[in-house]
Amino acid sequence: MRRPKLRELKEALKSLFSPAYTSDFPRRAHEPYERFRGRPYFHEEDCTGCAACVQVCPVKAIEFNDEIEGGRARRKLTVHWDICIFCGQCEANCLTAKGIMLSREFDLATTAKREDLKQTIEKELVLCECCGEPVVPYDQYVWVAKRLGTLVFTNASLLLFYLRSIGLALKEKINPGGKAAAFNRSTRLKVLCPRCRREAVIKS
Amino acid sequence: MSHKIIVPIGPYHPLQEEPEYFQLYVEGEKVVDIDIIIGYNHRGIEKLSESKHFDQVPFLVERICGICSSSHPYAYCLAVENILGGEANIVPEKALYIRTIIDELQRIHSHLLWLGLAGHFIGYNTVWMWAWKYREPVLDMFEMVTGNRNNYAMFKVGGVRRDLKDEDIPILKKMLDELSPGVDLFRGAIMDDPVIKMRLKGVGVLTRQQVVDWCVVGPTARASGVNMDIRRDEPYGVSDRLDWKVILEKDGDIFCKTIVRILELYESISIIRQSLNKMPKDGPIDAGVKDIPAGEGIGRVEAPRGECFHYIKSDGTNRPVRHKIRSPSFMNVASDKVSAVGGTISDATLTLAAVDPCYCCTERVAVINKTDKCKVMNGWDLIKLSQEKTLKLKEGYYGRPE
Repeated sequence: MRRPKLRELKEALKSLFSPAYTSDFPRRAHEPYERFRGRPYFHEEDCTGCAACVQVCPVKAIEFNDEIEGGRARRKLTVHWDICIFCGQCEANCLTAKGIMLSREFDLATTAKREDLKQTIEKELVLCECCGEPVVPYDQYVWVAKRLGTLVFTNASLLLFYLRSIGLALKEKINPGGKAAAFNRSTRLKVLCPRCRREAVIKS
Repeated sequence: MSHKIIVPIGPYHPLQEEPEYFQLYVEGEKVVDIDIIIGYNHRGIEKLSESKHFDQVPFLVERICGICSSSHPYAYCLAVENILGGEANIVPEKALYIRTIIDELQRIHSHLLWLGLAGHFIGYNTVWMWAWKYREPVLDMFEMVTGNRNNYAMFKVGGVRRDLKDEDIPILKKMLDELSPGVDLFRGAIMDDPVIKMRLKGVGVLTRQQVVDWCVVGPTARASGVNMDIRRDEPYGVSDRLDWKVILEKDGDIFCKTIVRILELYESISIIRQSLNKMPKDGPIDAGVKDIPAGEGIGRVEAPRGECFHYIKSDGTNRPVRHKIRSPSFMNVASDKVSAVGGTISDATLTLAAVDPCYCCTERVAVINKTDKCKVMNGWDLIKLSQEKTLKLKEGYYGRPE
C-alpha cells in the first residue's frame, strides 16, 4: 500500500511546486485560438447586402428590412448578438466571404440593454426604373457585374448599369412611384423589377 | 402521526440540463423503492427540428446535451446519409477520419468529467480537481480545431465543416502524450486504493440479466458483461479500420463501471492516434450534398453514455418530416429502479450518478420514510451522506486520526 501513495504524492508535489493551473483571467486577458468562433461583425465595405446570411442562420439572429423614403431605398441588415449561437453559417455562406465574419471576441458579458446587443449596417438599394420598387442592393449588382467579367456584355441592362456605376455612361433620372411610361423596346435596357421585366418583354 | 405533504421547489435547475426527480422510499437507511419522474426538460427539439433545413438541424441537435455534443449531430448525419445511401458511400475519406477524431475526443472529455464527479461524490475531491485538470487540454484542442470548447458545429450532412489542418496534428499528438500519464495515474489510484475498492465494490449492482431486461446501453451495460458497442456492431466513421477493443467487466457494480470508463480512455487515445497517422494529407472534406430524397433513415452512434439513436423521415423537401431521438440516458436512468433498491441512501447518490446522467439528476430528491416522518433532502445532503460513508470506511482502514 505504500507505492500507490507515493505515486499520488509525486503528482501532489508536482502540483504544489508548479504555478497555478488556472489562468489569471481578469488581470490577463484570455487569448483564444486563431479559429475561435466569437462575436460576428458585418464589414460594410465587403458586404454586398445580398442577405444570404439571413437565409442560412439557424436561429434567425440576422434580419433585414427594406425601407423606401423620398426616392431612396435602404436595406438595413442587423445581427443580434443575444440570439447568435456562433455557428459560423453566415460567414461560411457569405457571397464575398468577408461581408460578415466571426471575430475572436468571447467576452460578451455587458450591462447594456438586450436591444442594444446588435450591429446594423445600411446598404443602398437599386430601384426599378418603372415602378420604383427595390430590386437589388447596389453593391450586389456591381459585384455580379464584376464577377461576370467580359460576360457582362451579354446583359444589356446590367452592362449599362455597370458603366453608369463607374461613370462611363450618363446617369438617367429614375422615376420612382410615378406612372410608368409606356413600355417600349428601350424600356428593356432599364433596371427593372421581375414584374416590370415580364411586362416589358410581353408589351414591347 | 399527521400526514405530511412534500412540496419540493421543483426539479428544475436553472443552469444544468436534464432535470429529473427521484423519490426514494426508505426504511431506516435502506432504500426500498424509488420513483423516477422524468420529462421536466421537454424542449420540443423534435418538433423544432421539423422547422429547420437539413443543414441547420445539426446546430439544434448538438444542443440536446452539452457533453455529448458531437454524438447527436453525428447520429443525425448518419440518419440522413442512410437515406442517401450510407455514410461510407458519400462522405469523403478525410471527413470520416475527422469525424472519428472529434467523436473520440468527446468521449475522453466526457469520461474524465464523469470520473471527476464520481470522485467528488465519494469525497475524493482531489480526484475531482485532477480529472478536470487533465480534461482541460482536451477542451483546448476542441477550441483549436473546431472553434469552440463545446457545441463544435463540425458535422454536416455529407462531411464536416472545418478541416483538420496539418499543423494541428503535432499539437493533438502532444496533447495525447501528455494525457496518457494522467490516465495512468487515475487507473493506479482507483485500482489500488483500498478505500475506493471498499466503497464501490458491490454497490449498485446491475446483473447481466437486469441489463438485458432494462435495455441498458453503453459503458453501464459493458460493466455487467454485455458485449455491445455500436462502433463495432454497426461501424461508422473509420472505427472498423482501426485496431481497438471493447472493454468488458463482469460484476456490474460501480467499481466495474469506473474501470470500464477508465480503460475506454486508453482505447479512445489509441483510436485518435491511429486516425491521426492514417488520415490522408489532403482531399475534400465535404461531399456537397444538395438534395435529400424522400425516404427514412436511422443513425446509431456510440455516445459516451451509450447508444444514441436518430430517426429521420424525409419527403423530398428541404426539411425533415419527422425526427425521432432516443438518447442513452433515457434508457440508463430507468435502471436505477433495480440498482439503487436494496442499498443505503448514501450509496443511492453514487448509484444514480454511476450511469453518467448529468449532475442535476440528483439535484433534488425527496426521501419518504415509510414508517413515520417525511424529509426532503437536496443533492448536497446526499453527497454529504456519501462522503461521510467514505470517511468512515477510511477511518476503519487507516485508523481514526488522533
